[in-house]
Amino acid sequence: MKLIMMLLVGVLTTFACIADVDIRGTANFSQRQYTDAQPEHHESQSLIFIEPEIYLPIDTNWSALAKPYARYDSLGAARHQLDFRELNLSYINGNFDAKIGVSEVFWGVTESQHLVDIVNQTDVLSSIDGEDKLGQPMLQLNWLHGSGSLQMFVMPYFRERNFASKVQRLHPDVVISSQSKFEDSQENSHTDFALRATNSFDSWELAASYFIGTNRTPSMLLENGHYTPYYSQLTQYGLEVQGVFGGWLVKNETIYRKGLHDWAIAHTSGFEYTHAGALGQADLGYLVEYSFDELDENSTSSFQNDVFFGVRVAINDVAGSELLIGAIHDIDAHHWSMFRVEGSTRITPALRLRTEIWVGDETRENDPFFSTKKDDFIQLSIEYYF
Amino acid sequence: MLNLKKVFVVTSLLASSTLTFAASDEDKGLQLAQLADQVDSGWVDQTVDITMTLQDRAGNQNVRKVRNEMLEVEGDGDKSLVVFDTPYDVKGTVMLSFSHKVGDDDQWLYLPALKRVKRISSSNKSGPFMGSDFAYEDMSSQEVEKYTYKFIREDEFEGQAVNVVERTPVYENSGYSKQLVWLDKKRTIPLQIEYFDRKGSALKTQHFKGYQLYNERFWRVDDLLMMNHQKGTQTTISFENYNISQGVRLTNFAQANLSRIR
Repeated sequence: MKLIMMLLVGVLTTFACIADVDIRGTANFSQRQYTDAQPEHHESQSLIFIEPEIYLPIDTNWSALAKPYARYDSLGAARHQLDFRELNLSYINGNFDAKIGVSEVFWGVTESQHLVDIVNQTDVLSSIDGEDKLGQPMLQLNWLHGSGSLQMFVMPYFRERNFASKVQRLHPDVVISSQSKFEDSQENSHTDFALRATNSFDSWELAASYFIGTNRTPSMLLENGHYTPYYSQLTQYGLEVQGVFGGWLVKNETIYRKGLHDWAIAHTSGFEYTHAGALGQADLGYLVEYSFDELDENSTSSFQNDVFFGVRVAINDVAGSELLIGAIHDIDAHHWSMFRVEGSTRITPALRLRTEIWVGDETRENDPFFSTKKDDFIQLSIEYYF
Repeated sequence: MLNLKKVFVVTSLLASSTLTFAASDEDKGLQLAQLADQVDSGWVDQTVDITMTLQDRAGNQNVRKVRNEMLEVEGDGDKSLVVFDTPYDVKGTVMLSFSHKVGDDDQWLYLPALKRVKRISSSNKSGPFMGSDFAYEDMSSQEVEKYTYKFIREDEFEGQAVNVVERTPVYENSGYSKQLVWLDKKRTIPLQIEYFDRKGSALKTQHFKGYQLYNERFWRVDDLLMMNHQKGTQTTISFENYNISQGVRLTNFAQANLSRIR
């Protein structure tokens, strides 16, 4: 770890010597306290990560970007992470741009689940909400026009999900083998391909996407008392729709895909209403999103017939304080399966204090979150920006 | 974004001759607003660096820096890009707005940590911009159609002859019942605006300080001072490096371009 940090600092200083280099980034310290005692598990966990971003303009068209990421996790070395979220060369010429190297992209409009977002592998050890991603090697081509864009992705290398190898907090209760299996004989070297077109019309944002390649989410094969991740090939069509009407946002993400199972549809649909100035100068936002998956019990997702309810509070103060409260109701089981609170406030121009409470109570044994039902936690983080 | 574009040198002769034929105070107020709009058209595009200094009742200060790029749109509201530089937790965030003469503006936010371009609701116009004393509606493009007008009186303000015009927001969720604008007679530029809350009480006063002429046509202000009388807070906005009619690319204002901006 020390070596990594020294290396990082070394790279940073080298870059800093070149003129016009833009360096910014984030460093975070989090302390997590688990409220459910479990015999073989720790009750507290410390996490430290640093994510600098180094941008180097080369000429009017060319630039380079490096965004290394290093994480230390007190639960064990298998949860440390060293990654390049981005390491790419970018060419921009008017309405066309191309990027080659490791990169990160986001697709989607909904908040509770990101169904269509398929390009980057999820960093499952970093956070429980699946919003953190691993860098994906790719060639990316973009053509943009006044109201939208056409994007093409060629991904020559596949990144496996970063499971910790032993039974731990926020992790399946069964040991996961590091020897993954693949449907395709080329395994990690299978070249994946994706297309996406986006457009805005008046009050509407639309996007359609196509992906063919290795499924980012593995199925788990139970073999000799441990799980083996199995990555099948996947063909996926995606649709994103968002409408804006005053304080109302209407959202839908739909995928139609064929992977391990035959063609099946899944969608997340809902709305967000913002009541501006609901509490003095604070805004209140209400979110409701319904998720359905035709694969039902065969789905690797936690959402087959579930509703997410959320309340967002934006205090609109000098400190930019925010609060998000969310809960998931499983309609089939008539059961509240998840409850979550996230809050943050700025304490100096470069420091933000964050807190998170997570309560999981998944009752379905084959749900990915089932094993985390005794891992409820409260977390306090301090985030430094430079 | 900013409302300082309604500026141009026009002979006082033209101004007064127009006003002579005004029938009512409403017509006279509208004509002054139209004149202010006319004299500031034709700037095409503008970039400027902005420093906001927020000061609370106790005198504690907080600084925010943003960069703004604007594109004039004929027949509709302007397009605006705001790139946030500080506070550091929002560094790299970009806000794109297409303002409209009537109805809600279109707004997108680029969140660099998530690599996500998000269409957002612009209905919180009365909310504070970055925790400051400026509301979003104070900073968005000031179109004639956004208010109804009434000429109040001729007056003098800091040695300048002014017309005082009352304007009432058309937008139903505006934070204001009315505003009083002190409009410089000679240059048709605002020198002071008083804001009244929904209940009609005095809420804020904005001062326009240090006008300078750019491109031999356009008056631009160095500093804005907004004082909130009810909270005892104030915000200063300082402008630097105005660049007008320099040929900003249209595709800079495309949604898909937001992730390319640094």
